[in-house]
Amino acid sequence: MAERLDRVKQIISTLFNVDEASLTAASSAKDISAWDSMGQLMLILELEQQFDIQIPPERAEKLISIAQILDFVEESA
Amino acid sequence: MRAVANGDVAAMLAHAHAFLRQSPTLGTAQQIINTLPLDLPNRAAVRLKVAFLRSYTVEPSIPFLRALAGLYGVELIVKVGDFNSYAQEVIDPTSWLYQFNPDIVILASQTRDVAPDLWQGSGGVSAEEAASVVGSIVSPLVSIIECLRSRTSASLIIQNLEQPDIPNAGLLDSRREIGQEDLIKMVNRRLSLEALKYDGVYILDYDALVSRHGREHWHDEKKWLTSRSPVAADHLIFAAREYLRFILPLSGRLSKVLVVDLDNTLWGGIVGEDGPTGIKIGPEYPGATYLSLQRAILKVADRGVLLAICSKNNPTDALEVLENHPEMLLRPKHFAAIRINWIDKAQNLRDIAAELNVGIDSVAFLDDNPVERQRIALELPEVSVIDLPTDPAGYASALLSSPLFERLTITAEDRARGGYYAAERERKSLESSAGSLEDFYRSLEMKSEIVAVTPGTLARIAQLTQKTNQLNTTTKRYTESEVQAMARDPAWHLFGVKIADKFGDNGIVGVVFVKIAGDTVDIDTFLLSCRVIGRTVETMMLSHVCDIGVAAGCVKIDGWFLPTKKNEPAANIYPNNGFTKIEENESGSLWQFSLRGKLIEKPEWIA
Repeated sequence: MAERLDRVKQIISTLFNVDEASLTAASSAKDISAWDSMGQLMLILELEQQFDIQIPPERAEKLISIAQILDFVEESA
Repeated sequence: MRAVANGDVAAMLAHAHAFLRQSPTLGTAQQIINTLPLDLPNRAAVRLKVAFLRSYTVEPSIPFLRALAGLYGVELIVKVGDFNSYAQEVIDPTSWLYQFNPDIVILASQTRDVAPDLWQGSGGVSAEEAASVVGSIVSPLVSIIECLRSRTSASLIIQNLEQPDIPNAGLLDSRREIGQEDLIKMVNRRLSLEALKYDGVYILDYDALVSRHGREHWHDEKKWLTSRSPVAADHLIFAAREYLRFILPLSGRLSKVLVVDLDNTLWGGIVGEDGPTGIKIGPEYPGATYLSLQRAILKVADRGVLLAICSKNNPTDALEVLENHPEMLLRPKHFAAIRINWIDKAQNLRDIAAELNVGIDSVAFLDDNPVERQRIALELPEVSVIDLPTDPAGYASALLSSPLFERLTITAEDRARGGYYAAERERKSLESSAGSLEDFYRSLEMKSEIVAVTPGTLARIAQLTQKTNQLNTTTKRYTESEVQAMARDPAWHLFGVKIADKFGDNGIVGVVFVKIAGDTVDIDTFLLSCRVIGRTVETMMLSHVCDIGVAAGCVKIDGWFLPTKKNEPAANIYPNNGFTKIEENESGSLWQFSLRGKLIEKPEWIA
């Protein structure tokens, strides 16, 4: 669980070029300027490749915080 | 690893190439963009502005494009237009496009957007109708080209129309005089001809790109329907690479000289060991893989790239193959500069660049040996090191897929230049000098181990005496039973040397047989595989001979150098390590080292 949280944080930090230490489970799209609708698409592509999962479109648009992403990754694992 | 000249930037660059190859994801690309410095100590980055006009979501391929360009020292500033708004953006002189003032404009559109009727229709038209269909699709694109040409000097890259996975009429499409697929081909042909009429307008063959990677794998229907992003995640990098094939030559960041190795690159095997008739080159596998690389090298040369040779070899052996081997495609006349010697390749590359009067950043380096590639990547980060797969069958395509050799224009003079240099070379002597190598040695992280003759090592030790020709001071051949007999004799000391480095374990690469005779250590056999040539392993081996001599109470070491046609590389082993010549006759020279003074020390970079 903690390991997955770290991986999600690392993905968000790299993709949106924000300091990993500033991220918590509560961090969400509204806190990070690069996490816009195009950022969301890139994030989904990266999550699908990194965790080898498929994210259905209706879920993809709701994964807008680290906690929500983590929940989805946990349930897909 | 100790920082080398140019230090961390070079190491980061080498690492980033491998990282992107192993994990080609958006995260990797973004990480390279976030961290990789674009300026090298001796090469400032080229900065280019790229505008995408588009009908679909191109954004996911852009981090790959920026990361890849960064690896070649090109910084891209990218802006993307609105969906399907390119006509207005081009026509309106106050649009973002002209304010941005791009160097390169890429028109990324899909058949379904540019030609919806053609995409949805079933073809089946007459020749006259076809002409009108083609005209109605190409004309608006030509208007865009003309408008852009009149307002900006930016280079324009236009994607052509891709074919559908399966034509709408299925097999019937091929039963029509002009079907849907025929129409798309006609549009693409016409578009190519129109582009030729303008300067700086290029067609990116998007249909060929998609088919090269497999149409079914290229597309991700779900991402298309949800995000207008048609390209599957694992193919985004290939779209980026295709853009780079245009952007690199437009940036001026290109390789003007391709420097190639010889042994195991232009042919299979080592000419100094296997002889001109033992190397592998020709129409049958495995020689065919090297022939195919030679063909690829000629294709690159035909685009105006100069060729040069940099090989650690005996010049006589290597030139014999280049000049006379019947299966060789590449001959000395193809090469503008030739360096066949035993000195450091980084120094040779500097010399080649100076001789051909090009910057070191215009040099590309093709070598099968990962140690040599690493050495160059660290010592000369400005040189483009061609990343080769382990299987030689992949060498040709690795070379041909490099964007460094792409050209968008070519003159007859470009093509003729190689021959001119070859003629010039006749008048120049080949000179060479060694560079400082300590950082390179350290970067190899070499570990050595002295091994005795045991049932496990006997075969390899005997084999090395049988087949080592070059780094062999006396070239004495021994069978396994002879080696075994000597090993049992207390007057003899026999040992092998194993070397491992950061690239892997090389196994036993050195062999020494010495005999204690009174107060003297007589070196009977001292040899090294050419795999570890120029890495100071011989000094490490001689330091062990000193240890043996001191333990046996000897006061000096004697070693003969017996010259053959092949072993010139071994001539300097004794003089380079403090031995003095005390005798010379028709068979060779005798070298002596006193054990009463300072002993030979194991180099600090070999653990």
